[in-house]
Amino acid sequence: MVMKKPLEIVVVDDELIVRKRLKPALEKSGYHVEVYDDGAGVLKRLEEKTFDIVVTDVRMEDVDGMQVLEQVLARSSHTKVIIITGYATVEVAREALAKGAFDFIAKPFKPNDLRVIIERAADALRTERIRAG
Amino acid sequence: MGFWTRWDPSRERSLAPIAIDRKIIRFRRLVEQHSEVLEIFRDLEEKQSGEYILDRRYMEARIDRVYEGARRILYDMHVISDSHSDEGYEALDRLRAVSEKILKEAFAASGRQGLASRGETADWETLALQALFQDMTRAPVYGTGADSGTPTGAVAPESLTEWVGWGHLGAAQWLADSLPDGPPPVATLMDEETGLWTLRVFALGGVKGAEAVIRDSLARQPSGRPDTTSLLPLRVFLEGLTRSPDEAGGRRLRLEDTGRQKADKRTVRLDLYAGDDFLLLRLPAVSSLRLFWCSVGMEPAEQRLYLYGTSPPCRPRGVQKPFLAAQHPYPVYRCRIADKWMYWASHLSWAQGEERVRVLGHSLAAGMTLRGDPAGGEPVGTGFQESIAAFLKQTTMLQREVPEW
Amino acid sequence: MMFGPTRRRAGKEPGQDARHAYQCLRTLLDRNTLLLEQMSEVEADLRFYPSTSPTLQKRISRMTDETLLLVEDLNVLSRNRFAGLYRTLDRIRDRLTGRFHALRSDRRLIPITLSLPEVLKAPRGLAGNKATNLGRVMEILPACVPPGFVVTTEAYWRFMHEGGLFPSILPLLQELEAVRDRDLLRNRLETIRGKILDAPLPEDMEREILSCAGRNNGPLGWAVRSSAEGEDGRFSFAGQFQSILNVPNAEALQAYRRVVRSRFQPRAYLYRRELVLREIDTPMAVLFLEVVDARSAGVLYTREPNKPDRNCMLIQSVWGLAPDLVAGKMDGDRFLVERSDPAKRIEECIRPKTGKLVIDPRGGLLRQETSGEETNRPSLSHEDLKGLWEIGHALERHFRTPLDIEWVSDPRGKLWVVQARPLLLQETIAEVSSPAPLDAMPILEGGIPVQAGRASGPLVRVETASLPGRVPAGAILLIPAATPEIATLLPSLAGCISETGNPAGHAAALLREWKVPSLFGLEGALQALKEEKMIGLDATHRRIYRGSPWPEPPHQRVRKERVPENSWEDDPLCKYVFPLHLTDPASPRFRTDGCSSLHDIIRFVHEKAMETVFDLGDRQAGRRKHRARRLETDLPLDIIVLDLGGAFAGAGEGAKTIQPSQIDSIPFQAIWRGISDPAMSWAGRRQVSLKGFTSVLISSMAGSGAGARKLGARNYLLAARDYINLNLRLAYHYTMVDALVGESPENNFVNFRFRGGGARADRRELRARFLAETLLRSRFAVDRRGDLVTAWFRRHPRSRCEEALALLGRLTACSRQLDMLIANTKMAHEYAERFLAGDYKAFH
Repeated sequence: MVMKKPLEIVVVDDELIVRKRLKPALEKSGYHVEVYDDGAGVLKRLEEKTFDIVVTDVRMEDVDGMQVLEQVLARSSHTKVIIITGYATVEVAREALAKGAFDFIAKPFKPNDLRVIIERAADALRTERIRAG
Repeated sequence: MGFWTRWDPSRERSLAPIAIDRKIIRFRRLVEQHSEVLEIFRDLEEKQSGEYILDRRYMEARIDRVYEGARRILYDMHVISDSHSDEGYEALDRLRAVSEKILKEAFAASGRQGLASRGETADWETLALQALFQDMTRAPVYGTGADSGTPTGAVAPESLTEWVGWGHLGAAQWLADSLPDGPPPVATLMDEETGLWTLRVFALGGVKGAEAVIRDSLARQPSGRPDTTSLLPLRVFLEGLTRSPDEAGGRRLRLEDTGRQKADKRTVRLDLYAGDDFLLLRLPAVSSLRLFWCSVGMEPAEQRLYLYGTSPPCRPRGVQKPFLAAQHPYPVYRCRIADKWMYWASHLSWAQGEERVRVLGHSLAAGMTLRGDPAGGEPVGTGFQESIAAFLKQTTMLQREVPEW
Repeated sequence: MMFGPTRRRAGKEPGQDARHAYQCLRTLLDRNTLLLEQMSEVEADLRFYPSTSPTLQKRISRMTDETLLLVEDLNVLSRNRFAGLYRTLDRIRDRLTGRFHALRSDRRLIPITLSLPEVLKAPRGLAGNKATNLGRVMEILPACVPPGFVVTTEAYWRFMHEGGLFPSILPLLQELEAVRDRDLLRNRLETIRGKILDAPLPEDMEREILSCAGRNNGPLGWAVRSSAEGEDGRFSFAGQFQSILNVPNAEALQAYRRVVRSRFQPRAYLYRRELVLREIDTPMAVLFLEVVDARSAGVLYTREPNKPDRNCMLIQSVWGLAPDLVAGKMDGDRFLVERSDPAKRIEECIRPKTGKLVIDPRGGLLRQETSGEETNRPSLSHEDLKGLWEIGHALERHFRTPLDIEWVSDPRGKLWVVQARPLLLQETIAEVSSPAPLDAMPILEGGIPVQAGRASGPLVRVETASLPGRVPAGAILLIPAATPEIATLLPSLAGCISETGNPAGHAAALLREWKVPSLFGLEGALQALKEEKMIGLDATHRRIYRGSPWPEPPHQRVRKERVPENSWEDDPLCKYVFPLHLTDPASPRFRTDGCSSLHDIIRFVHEKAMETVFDLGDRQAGRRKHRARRLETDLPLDIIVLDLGGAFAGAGEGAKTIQPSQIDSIPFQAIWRGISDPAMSWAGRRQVSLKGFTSVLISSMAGSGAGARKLGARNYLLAARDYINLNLRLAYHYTMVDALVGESPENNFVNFRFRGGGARADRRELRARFLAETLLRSRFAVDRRGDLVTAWFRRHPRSRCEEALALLGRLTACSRQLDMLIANTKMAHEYAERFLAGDYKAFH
């Protein structure tokens, strides 16, 4: 019997409430979730480990979500990045998509909405892996 | 030092046709604005449930938007009613200051308490939103459908929801009572049977083709390959007026000679302002229903029906959740302030919207039957009044189909 | 008690009227911005909707209504001083509604379907090129074309718009423009395709299509194929859309939907996107042709595509039906026949044919094994060849160009023509490198795009100054310098690269006229591309590839048709909406009767509103103090300043001018710091992308949409201690800054609005991108629609607000000539980087 490896997700957001709410909600779906509160910290972590999905807020002090996006994509072609944008910032979202983000979600949102996007990303990853053989 | 010199009304008179257009177009914007404001309330109500991850900017943006919406409603009302007044703006400023204070204090509190002590309770953003929502929607002027109970809402508005309702109703009342005589009507239709009421049809917004629509309706002919989107409300209303539901009755209308200027004192006069995608019907003071407004569009959100009047046709029965739409395709909402009321429905499907407009036509037609003997002093329009009441009951009765929430 | 607002006599309470005026002004300014946004949106929408579209008309109606309210606002503000404007607007509105009405009536006459014989009599663009070409074949060979009908482009528009289908797809489409992640792209396109497949057809359309389809009484079904406008004409689109063969009558509607949705397959969509085609240029008609039972079928080229000078025709054939052959998926028998004599075979190559596609009686096609002797027998007889040869000549004469013809030979030996299109003379697919993925590596980058677009073809390097007399059709020319002599080669060129050359010169103009994708200023290209035989040129993105990185079909076009770039500007509808004639407030023409478009009125109202506010200010203060003064400055700016309260505290009384340092206003000082920053240059430009300059000049001379504004036209500034409202017009655009900066962050805001004028739409958009990116990265919230940029910066402490305002000042100073500097999105990004790095010299 083949055990499906649980999806490795990292969530980056400088707001505690986001991390507090998302971590248990996503873990409930069987994902492994690590959380970070700043871009610099997660970049260091990304040097050690490749995640399947990176969820990052786009606006953070210091190292912001766009930089995280760029770094992730540069390091790994098998990681899907989802960005969290603030209210009414479509331009940012488009910029992220143009840079290669998988998708975006805008606040306010329910954790379940994010989960749906993550599932799609997971599907895409699976398809890619199958294609790659 | 007087800064306003005399407003020169003479120039205005010569431009009357545009003046009517402006009033009605501005009224339309006001209605849309009110709709947006209520939609924001609905959104706030949903987002305060605690399930959402919120964003301070979201709340600031919603506050901005809702107060700006309120300001515009007041402004438009003032311009429509030629009032040159600034009533209401200061009140809005005060209310806004309160809202911002709520937000500020909640934010400050979040820092103080430290989140460790919060545990699983709602975050500060949700709490703030709840407080905001409660403050904005303090007064129970809104409800759904035909309830019974005592009139609600003070004449002098206090909360935000009251102010916007007040602005809307004020504008409607002005249109009902004071809309000046405008450009010559496209047609004056008269009831063939009794000859005692007339319907004047005005084409607004420079729209063309109204005569053809009227002609077709009178001849009861469907027009060629229908260009279904043009002057639709007019078309449907006239259909309702000229044909009864079972095709048996229906009033026959004939075109009035334009020569006959004298208006019979006993004539009940209705004015219909038709645009490409909207219709405004003005009814005389004998009726409790004074204005009927409807607009159509490609999106359900653009389909709207509004009824305005004085003295309640049905008495309200307390307040239910005013904003969250039920899972029914066709809820009807109401707003009452003193003896002025309005009922409305939006997010209708095209078919539903059409149906309502047609039924209004039927009801009016039915109401044209006069009871009693005009010579004997019985007021013309009694039957009219009853029929309107029946229509309203029917419209608002739909609430009965809505499961209680 | 009276319900509604209490009527107060005007002027009763002190300050009441000022408050009312303030409310009015605010509403007016808001509405003004809204209108400009709407105008910008409608201009953007014209990429997706034709002007006959009801959706577009509705938006313009709304704009007209909004303009009416704007005029009313002005009159409320000015006590009815501009009542004459109502009449002006009424006239414009009347023209617009008249036009709508006319378009609507005409619409009713536009057919949903056309039978093939009717196609040529119908208005251009209705039937699509494929059907039109067949119509032309029928002119001389009526018996050779199977019966058929076309569902017109009008039907396509109705299908898209009447059920609300397009509005539900449009947001997805707009989002797709930015997407690079291919999974997401596929995902979204799938969503779009799903919507199309499920969408209902208008009732009358359904009836008509089924009725036409029902006329086929035979046992065979329909071949349903796309006939897109632009297909088989300028851009081949070959193989991009779905063809469905042998559709039973009853399934006609679903087949229609399937063909329509095929334009949103990734390949088709990317093809269009890369070509930067507007949606509006590619509406789709769908051709229904009765299927012919095929003994054999194939293609006929009236000249050999590789070697057009060789006097022969090339014929390829297979047993059964030939979709696989046409798509390049299999090889068939190949015959090269002399043009002068069908009996003379220059080459003949019979391949073993192991299978054939035949009609499945249930619908669709079946693959059958060929019988033993069929495998090696030629699929074409001598009679067939002769017949095809005759058809080829006849049609070539009629079309006056070499042709690519699809034919079918039925069991009785009769020859049918099922498709004909101009032959694109180019290397065959075998000699072009296989399609590379989206991230193909260019072998050379740079240069200045003179004409956007892309091309692939054989490279012709010319090292000397003298040009060859001829080049192969479809060649890409590489020259050291672009001289007007290239005119003689233009009909054959697919692309042009020049190491030097003046993008504003004559040669460049010619290349643009012929829409030949071109790059100038690519130094060292001759050396770098010395060994290349086939290249792909992407002039838009300034890249050159080996071979062709695009999923190009086997053929590319050679015939150049003139496609008007901004055809919508000719539309009378747009004449009354977009053009701006009132450009100079100081001119005597700047009056109510000088307005002939909505844009004029909007501009007029804005200007007069600001004037009125200043008049109010004067009157309110009385004659003693001059509340309005001119700002003293060396910069080429003419700014009138009005004190809203306390801002002139530092200045003496009675003066008509004021120095910037004397204005006691926190936000003003901050923005002035940026505007007057010595690092910004107001002196002019040293080096400018000449293409851009030409574009600006052309637009202003043509007077369409832009207007030449004098540098330093009148600008307004309202100032108070903690508030400013600044309206600037510099060169070709306007900027509005609205800011409240005090000690408490909660109430602070900085709002910025920018709308461009001058230059063509694509340049204005690029400038807006530059601004949007710069602002976004400076922590503003930004909303960009087309060339309108709105940005805001809220609830920040004083110092951050001041920095933001200084940034806005610098941006305003440097953005004047950006439409000349920024030629593409990459440059927009680069300039943003430079600005943010403080490299202001780049903007000199």
